[in-house]
Order: sequence, then structure tokens, then C-alpha cells
Amino acid sequence: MNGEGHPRSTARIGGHPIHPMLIPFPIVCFILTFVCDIFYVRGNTGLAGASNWLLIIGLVMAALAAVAGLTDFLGDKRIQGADAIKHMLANVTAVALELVNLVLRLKNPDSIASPGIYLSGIVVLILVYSGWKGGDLVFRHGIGVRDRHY
Amino acid sequence: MAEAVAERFIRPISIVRHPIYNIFLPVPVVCFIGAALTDWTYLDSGGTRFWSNFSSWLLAAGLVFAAIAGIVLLIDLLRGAAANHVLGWATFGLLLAAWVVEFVNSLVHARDGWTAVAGPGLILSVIGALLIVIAGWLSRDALEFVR
Amino acid sequence: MIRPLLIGTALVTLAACGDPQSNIDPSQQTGPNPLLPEPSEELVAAVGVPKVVGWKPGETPVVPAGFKIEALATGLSNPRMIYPLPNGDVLVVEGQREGSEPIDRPKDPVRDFIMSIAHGGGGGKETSGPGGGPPQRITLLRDADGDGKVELRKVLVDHLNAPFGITLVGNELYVANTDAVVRYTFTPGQTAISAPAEKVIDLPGGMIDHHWTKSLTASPDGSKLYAGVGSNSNVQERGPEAETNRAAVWEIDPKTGAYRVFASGLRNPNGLTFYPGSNTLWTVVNERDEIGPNLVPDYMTSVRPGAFYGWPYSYYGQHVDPRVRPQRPDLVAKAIPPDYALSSHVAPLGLTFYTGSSFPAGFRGGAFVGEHGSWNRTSYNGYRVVFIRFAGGRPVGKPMNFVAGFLGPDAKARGRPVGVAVDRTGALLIADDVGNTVWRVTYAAGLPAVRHA
Repeated sequence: MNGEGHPRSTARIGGHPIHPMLIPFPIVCFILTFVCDIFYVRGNTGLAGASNWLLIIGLVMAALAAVAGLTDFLGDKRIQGADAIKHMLANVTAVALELVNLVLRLKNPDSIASPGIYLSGIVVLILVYSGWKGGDLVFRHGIGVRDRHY
Repeated sequence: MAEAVAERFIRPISIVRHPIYNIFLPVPVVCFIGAALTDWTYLDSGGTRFWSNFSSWLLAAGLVFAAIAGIVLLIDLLRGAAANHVLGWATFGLLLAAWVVEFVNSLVHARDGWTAVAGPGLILSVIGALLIVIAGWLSRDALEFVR
Repeated sequence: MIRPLLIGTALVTLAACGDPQSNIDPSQQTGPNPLLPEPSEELVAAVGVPKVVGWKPGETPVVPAGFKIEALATGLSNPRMIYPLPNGDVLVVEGQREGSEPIDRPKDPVRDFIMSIAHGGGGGKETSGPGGGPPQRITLLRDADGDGKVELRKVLVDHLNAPFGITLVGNELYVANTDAVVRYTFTPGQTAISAPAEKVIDLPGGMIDHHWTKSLTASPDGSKLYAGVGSNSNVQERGPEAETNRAAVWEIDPKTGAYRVFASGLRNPNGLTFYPGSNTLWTVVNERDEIGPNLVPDYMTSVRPGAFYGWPYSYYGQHVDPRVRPQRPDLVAKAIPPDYALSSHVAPLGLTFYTGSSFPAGFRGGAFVGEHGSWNRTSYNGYRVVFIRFAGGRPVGKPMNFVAGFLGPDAKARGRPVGVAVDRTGALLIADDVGNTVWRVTYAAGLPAVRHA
């Protein structure tokens, strides 16, 4: 590992990988969506608008994060392992579910109660998994970590 | 291979090798940037309270998780887990500054109506967001979490 | 190192920003032209909420020389309004808001918690109300010989819904619950009502119901009822939709249940009373909070039909509140200032005009105001009953502290006055909600008359 350094991130700015900077946005947005949905079904119906905005922002930022992540994936063969693939598939699933979620509730706000909140909840669970995998990519495999010379 | 003298690796507080600080820090980054955006949208909309309430909740969530991240970072620094001590303490200082700014900001946002955001509200949101973004940027090099 | 210093300096500057209100005496804010400083929004709104300790046996409020005060009834459960009947019986309305407001933002539960400290002692222990909550009822007190000792005390009617206002017209007793005006057939002398209430009209209640007390009175000829409907927020921060037909006095036709908004822009009007012998309706109003300990003075005013008194866009005529958007300069232009300011944050909830003859002559026709007391100031204001002399149907001079001592020297509340009324003997009755007592003030004849400004 010390010999060839850590796997490189291709999409970088100022030496810092872009993908990890962006993914907190969809993660936080989608978690907050689930929180809003919980309060919605408990009576705070005013939160429907908030969850719509959170989904939209989350999806946009997820798209940008996906571009950066895919760039990294294709840019260094050492990244193209099992963890990265699982991470990618989980995130794609999450994004697809939230896209469906958003479309459903834009057409009918009542869909938050069903299946909206279930979709949001499942996505949160998926994000726990994909976030964990992402953490492994950085904290175990050291992807994008600056090489230190001793 | 192994160098003659390798620095002792003190791992930051972690869950199964995932540093807790790195897990929590992004939350206030997103929340504080979000609050600045919702503040701006509030002013732009002429005062639709949906946006100022959104700001208040984002600030609250950001403050909670920034506090957790800050405490964990402080412990890590005191334990000597910093790869670069100057950067480590600078990150902590910025995080603390961001927290203080956003705490004051949440008091301002607790006002009723327009003055919760107009003036000091938006300004503090922007300052707080900038401070925590810089803290986040620096913290990437501050802690060493993998070898 | 520099960074914390900069932040600290900024903090201090922000905190110091705007305390131009610190040197104002409440007496500068009474009467028709109160001193109105610039709005000042502190980082943490000045809050002074006294702990409630209640009255020890034998402890009473303080009245001027020549007067005597005694408890007419104790051990009540949050008594708020009192209504003397023509036959000498006295009705006491015991009620309070149940449940808390829906949470819009993080400030809401924090604010609700602070407010709950102020209502600490009031009837909270008794749970005989619907669903195990506090009682929501009207108690009848009978003191037939007027000696201040009650011979009979009975619950007249129970299971109301946060009742406040009450008035008798002929054989109909009207009660204003927080969500409706209801009517009972009732003849003075009755000590129980068993027939169910008949609803006259719905009043705005709902989940928020921020200012829940609905004051009630009848026109002198009995043909119309007037209900005070307070706003659903401090300054419309819950949105204009929550304020439909609120912050207003409603004029209700009891026969048809029809209503119209009689006057609007009154943030929380209570103590609705007609000036004796006239067709002029008077009210005391709780004005807005959180722009400083000396803004905005609460007031007592005559209510002109069709008039707009400013809330939420302005106060005291054209003083615009910077917090309300979108602004309405057209409404601000038509806003009329109230007649008589009572100084800031005294929280007037009761109003009555002295129609008895046992007090010295100078009291006749004047107004007693029950000031529940402040929360938005660090130095307390209110917590007393004041008297304002009237001449020619208009208030004159400065208010005189008439009953004090509700707040002890240790700054803890023994009681807080709410409704005031004059009984058949000319004594002044005061409902004290956190003291759970109805007080009776009499004038000991033969002693020198009290001089007042």
C-alpha cells in the first residue's frame, strides 16, 4: 500500500475528491424527507411542501454526485472492486425510489401516507448501507486520501 | 516497505474504522448551507413563512450535529489523532466559530415575522455556512484516518 | 485566537444593539398619548415570569386605606371571570385552555414551556374536567346577606370548553366557550342547570387558538351580543389564513345566530363592557410582544363600529410593525389609535365600570381594570387592579393602583387578577386565577375617603 499510494480520485478540486463533498446533500435531504413524512402522517400536513423541496434538492445533488462518483470509478482500476459496485448499485436504487416518490407526491400529496413514507423509510435504510460502503471505500481502501510521505 | 521510523497511528474515534467525526460533520454543512438558501428564498418571496420555518429547523438540526462533531473532534485532537495539528485546531476553531454564529442566528430566527431573517438573519446564515464549509475543507487533511 | 475574539465582539455588539427602551417609566405610557420608543428586538426576548406560590392562610392583596379586602371564595380552579346576577348570586367561570399549540418551528415548544411556568399554580391539580383535565365549569356563589360570607356554593354547569365570557339577558344565560357561544335557559335563583346548552354561534377555535379567551357582553337593550375574538398569533407569524375573523369584536344576533365583524385590528380584546347608560362599547386590549419591554402598551378603548385599530400592521394608529409582511399601507392609513394606554405588557383581562354607591363618590362611573401581569419584561408590570376615573364618559387622569400585592416582595406570584365586577352591594369582586380565589373589596364607611389623582 505504501509503495503505490492510495487509489486516486479523478474528479478532484484542490486535491479534494468531489464525490464525497456532494453525497452528504442527498443523504441529509433524503433523511430529512423521511423525518418530514413522519411528522406529516402525525398531523403536520404543512410539511408536504418541505418534503417536496428536500426530494428535489436531494435528487439534483445526487445526480451531480453520481457524475463525480462515476468519473472516479472509471478513472482508477483499483476502485473498481466489489465495495464500489455495491455502493453504486445501492445509491442508484435509492435515487430511483426517491424519483418515484417525488413524482407520486407531486401528483397527489396524500401519497405521502402511502406509499410515500414507506419509500422514504426504505431509502434511509438503503443509505445506511450505501453510506457504510462509501465509508469503507474511503476509510479502508483510502480512495482519494492524500498520500503521506514519512 | 516499512520505514525505519513510522509515526504512531492514533485512529480517530471510529465505528468499525469509520471515524465518527467524518460521519457527522457533513450534516451541519448541508444544514447551514441549506439555511442560507432558505433564508434567501424567504426574503425573495416577500415573507412566505414556510421558508423561515424551514431555516429554523435546518439551523436546529445543524447545531445539534455540529456540536456532536465538535466534541468528537476535540477529543480526537486531544488524543493526538491529528495528522496535522495546526490544521486540526484550525478546523476546530472554525467549527466552533460556525456553531456560535449559528447559535446566535437561531436566536435571531426565533423572532416573529420579517425581522427573523431580514438583516442579521441572512448575514449570519451566510457567515455560518462559509465558516463550516471552510472547516469541512480543512478537516479532510486534518485527521489521518487510514494507513 | 483572533477568531473567537471577533465572534465575541460581534456577539456583544449584537446584544447591546438596541436597548434604547431601558429608561422609560410605565407612567409615561399611560393615558391618551403614551411615549412610544423605537422597536427593539433583543437576541433573547426579555422574559420575567414569576413563580406561582399562592396565598398563605390569612394573606391577602393590599388595598388603599379605608378599603377592606377579603376572600369571597377560595379553593376554586383557575377562576377567570365573575358575573354578579341581579339577585345577588355570583357566577364564577373556571376554565383554561387544554392541550398545546401545534409546533411550527423550534421556538414554539420553548415558548410554551416558559409560559406554563407563569400559570403554575392555577387549578392544575384538580382533574375533574372532561377526560381527566382541569375543570371547565361555572360555579355559583350565594351570599344573600351581602356580608362577604358565602352560604351556598355549587357547580352551576360543567363540561364546558375553555369558557371565559358570560352574560345574562332576561332568562337566557350566554356563555362564550373558546369555540362557540352557547345559551342556557336560566332564572336567577336557580342553583343548577341540567338542560343541555344550545349553541348560538361557532367562534374561531381550532388547533392553534393562541388567544383563546372569548369575552362576552350584551348590548344595553339585550338585542345583540358582543364577543371578543383574539388573534391566533403574536403578529401574524402563523400566516394570515390563521387570522380569519380574528383580532376582532363580533356583533352577534342571538336569535338568528348571524354575526358581523363589529371592529377589527384589536389583537386580543377582553373585558367587553358597555359604559353605563350609553351605547358605547369599551374593551381592554393586550397588544403585541417581542419588540421590547416598553412596546406596545396595552390599552383600554371605546370600540367604534366598523373601525380598524391596526393589528397586525401597525399600532397606536400609524406606527408600523416592521415584522409583518406583506405590508398594508392602505390599512395602516385607516388605523385609529386607542383611547387610553395602560403601559406595556400589563395584560389587562378584566374591565368593569363602577356602578355602585358604597365607594366614595369619586369612583362612580370610573373603570377598574384587572391587569394579569407581564411576561415580556424583566421588571414586572401589572399584577394589580387599577382604577381610572371617568368624566363625561371619557377616561381622565392617570391610573391609580387600587389592589396590589399579587406579586410579593420576593417577586413570586401569590395570585393574578383577571376579571373584575361590581356586586349588588357596590363591592368590587376580583377573579384571581393562579390564586384560585375570588376577592371582594368593600369600603369601610366612616373612614376618610381616599384621595386619588
